[in-house]
Amino acid sequence: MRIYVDEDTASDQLIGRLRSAGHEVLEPLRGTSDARCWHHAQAESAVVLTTNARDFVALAGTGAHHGFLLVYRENDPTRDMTARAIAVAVDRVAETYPGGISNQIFTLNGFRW
Amino acid sequence: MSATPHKSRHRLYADVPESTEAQVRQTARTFYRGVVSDAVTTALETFHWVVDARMRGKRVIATDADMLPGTYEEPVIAGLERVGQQWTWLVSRDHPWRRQLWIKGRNIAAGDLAHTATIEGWTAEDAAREFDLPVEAVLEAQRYAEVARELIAAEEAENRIVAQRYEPDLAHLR
Repeated sequence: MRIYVDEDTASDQLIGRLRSAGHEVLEPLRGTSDARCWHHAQAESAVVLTTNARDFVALAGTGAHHGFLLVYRENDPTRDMTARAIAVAVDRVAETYPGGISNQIFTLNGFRW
Repeated sequence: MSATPHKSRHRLYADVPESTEAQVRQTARTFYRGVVSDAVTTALETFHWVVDARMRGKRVIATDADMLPGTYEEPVIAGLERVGQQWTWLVSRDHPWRRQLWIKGRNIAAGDLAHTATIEGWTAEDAAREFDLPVEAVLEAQRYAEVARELIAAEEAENRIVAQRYEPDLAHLR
């Protein structure tokens, strides 16, 4: 999967885990508006991965896109997703949807089992 | 404790080194709109607060509040309430719905950074490395996350409500 990880989610550890799992991860833009990041990801044919659901869902509603993965904070330290859990969930999405997730939005919290 | 105005005021002269005079005037300018008597009175009251604490067997130290056990005392010093409240690494941003502060120059909300460090069990140094930030920025974000806990939780809840609309029904795959 070709992925753009939003800056607020883009720890070295998460990017490293995704790359180790065989995903192509774009370098996150720094200090750049959500809109520019979104358009950059679309221009690069990348799935967007972020914890910033509200702003990016609004952007996703503006037209066709290459897929969108959300992570939310559960307000429960025993349930909140670590970089490792996020990377595992991304693998599950890739396995579940081998044809890609264009124009689809998924919450990765739902891909834990 | 505060510098209270006295009805009957007296003039007091003291011979002090030039550096002390400069220090007194600088303190007055910085914290008391240039009123030297307020600066001196408050400094003296602070000194007496320290003496009183020592007399009661207490030690007076300077440290972060979250490093201390539950019971500690802190002097309330007139004019200093706002000192330390200004953030060096955090800035506000004109955002449609988020009101929490952000890491300066980055598109990372302070609460998100602090929360990620907690979730991962990272030290401030770890988080700084992970996001290529100065350690001081992470420490400041963590301090801010403590004082703005309710605001940050409310904003996370807004994101959660939106994200939960897209939770897949994948029970058949599990």
